[in-house]
Amino acid sequence: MMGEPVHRLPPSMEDVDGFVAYIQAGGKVEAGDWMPEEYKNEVIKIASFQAILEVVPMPLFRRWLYMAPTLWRRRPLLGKIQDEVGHCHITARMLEDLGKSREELFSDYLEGRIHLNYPFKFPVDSWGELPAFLLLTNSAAVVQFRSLAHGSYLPYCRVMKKIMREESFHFYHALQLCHELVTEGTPRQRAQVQEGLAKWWHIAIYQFGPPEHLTKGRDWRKWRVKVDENETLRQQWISMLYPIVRSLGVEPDPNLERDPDTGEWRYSPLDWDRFFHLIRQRTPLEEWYVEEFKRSYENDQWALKALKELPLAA
Amino acid sequence: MQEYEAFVRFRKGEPLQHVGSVRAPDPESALEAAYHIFLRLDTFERLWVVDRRFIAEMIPDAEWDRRRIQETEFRRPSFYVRKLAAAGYTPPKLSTG
Amino acid sequence: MRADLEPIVRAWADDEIFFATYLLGRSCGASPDLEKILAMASIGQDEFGHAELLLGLLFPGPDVERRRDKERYFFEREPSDFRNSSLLKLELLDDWAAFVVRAFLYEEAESVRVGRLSEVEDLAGIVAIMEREEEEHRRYWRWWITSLGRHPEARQRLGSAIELLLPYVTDTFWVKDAPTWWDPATLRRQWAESVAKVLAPLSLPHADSLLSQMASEPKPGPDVSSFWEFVREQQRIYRSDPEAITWG
Repeated sequence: MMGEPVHRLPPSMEDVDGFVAYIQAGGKVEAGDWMPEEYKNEVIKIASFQAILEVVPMPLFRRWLYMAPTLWRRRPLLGKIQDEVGHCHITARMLEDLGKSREELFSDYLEGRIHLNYPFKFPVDSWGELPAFLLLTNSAAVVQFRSLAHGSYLPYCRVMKKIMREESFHFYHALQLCHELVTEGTPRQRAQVQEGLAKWWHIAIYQFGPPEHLTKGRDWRKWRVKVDENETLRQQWISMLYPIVRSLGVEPDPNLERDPDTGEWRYSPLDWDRFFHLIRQRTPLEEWYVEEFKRSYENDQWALKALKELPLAA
Repeated sequence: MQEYEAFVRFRKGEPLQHVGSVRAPDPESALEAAYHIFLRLDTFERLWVVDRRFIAEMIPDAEWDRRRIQETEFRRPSFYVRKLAAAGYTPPKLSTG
Repeated sequence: MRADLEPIVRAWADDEIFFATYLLGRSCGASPDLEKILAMASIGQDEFGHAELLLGLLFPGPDVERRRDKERYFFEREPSDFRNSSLLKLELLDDWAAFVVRAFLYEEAESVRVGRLSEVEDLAGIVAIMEREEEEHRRYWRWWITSLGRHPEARQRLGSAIELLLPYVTDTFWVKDAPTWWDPATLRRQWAESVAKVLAPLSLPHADSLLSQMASEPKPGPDVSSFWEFVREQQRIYRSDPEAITWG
């Protein structure tokens, strides 16, 4: 099919309505395409929040890397650390292509414009609790990422796909460690895992955010960077994790049951007032994360400054 | 004249693919040449050309590759799924509903 | 494996385990230079892989008993029984200049160690694997040293780091119960030579003292109480119930 050579610059569309219609009809946006400012900000907001939660909790993993009671388990933890920092990196790269520098991203966190995800308010106190925490919070993240991978902004879909390939290893590792401690560990280790699963079920379930009627209407449906309602994702997560948690010997919620007709899960009511209240406070653990982040961020500023100031020629 | 490597994304959502190379005096000419040579019959989402001098390359050898695969076994889900299976536990697939 | 190699491998394994741990520990810190952090995390995993290869020589065989022995070997030793060189007893997470200088010195020492042991038949296979990766590692740390070393302010920090690390280079290559053919003095001179090649054009403060320390006869390093605490911290959960450990 002969045609004219394609312009290197994307066609300029100042037609926001046209863009919205395109998105609503399932249209996808590639890197470099024209986009309304609001759309760009939507991508930036979602991706910034996610990039931060990849990298900020790293000190938790350092602690468990040091404290793991088997040398063998350091391998997957080393791998997980690299994966998570890598997830931050690819997301930060995408944000840079959208005009947001990684320095801005990090100062957003340090200056309180972005907060860590809800689960990171709470500590992980034992080796047995660690895989329970990982299993439930990781899987919640995967459910969210899987949804985002169908969004309208293609570079972000690619980011999500790469992240999910690695999260798969994190999930199965956490599951296998839970299972091993429950079936081959001491009674104390088994209790740590099972109590951990019971505890973290009730934290991770909040990870998806409040149901629609409680959120201030952000226009996510218009832009389709986010594709599913919070409750939809929570339901998916429950479907996925409930059988697993049960198979590990834990009934996380006595009111958990599935409607035979609709397939919808009913569960103990969630306390969103308390959630919103807690969101606004910083736990000691969160203070620790900020301190750690700040300290390590400032530690090598001199080196980065030096590298920037070096002449390009050797 | 320089060699330019050409990469095309045929449809939105797909990865960029290497389709070949052209010789040209500058990037604009390279784009035009690549368009006429590689994209006569296809619709496409975009075309990139990169001056070969700006490409850095790494090629692992087979021995290197084999060892790295062994090394990374513990980072594969299948490793843990097998361990679970050996312990008599079949995890559900990572799907929903 | 030949019995006379055991002390050498024990010291080496301890160095690698801790170096890998420090690298990944540092990777858990924030930095705008995520690319460099990720490369460092990758290096750390290589190092842990090397440690596993070395531990595999000390505890050969895939069976569970061997794996238990390997774990006990790490978790049941007293801090004083660890055989890391002094350079590898410091965490240095909060001092990037010192972290870089230490890593550079260690990787240069590694290339000397690997070079010497490539001549030993029992180790040839493992060493061939390590050599390839160590080349990449060396390049990474040399890049940091030569880049920072050219900058007027950064080079001062490197100089301070060198001064800080002077007491800790004294026991590199010294191995407890080493066989007679193991020649720390010669290895140290080779080490000093390879480091000198990189540092010479930079004229960093205290570099001369460093090189002369490195080239001199090995001596015991200083007591590092933070290292003892660090070992105990790593062992704490294990020791709270050694029966609890599952062997994966």
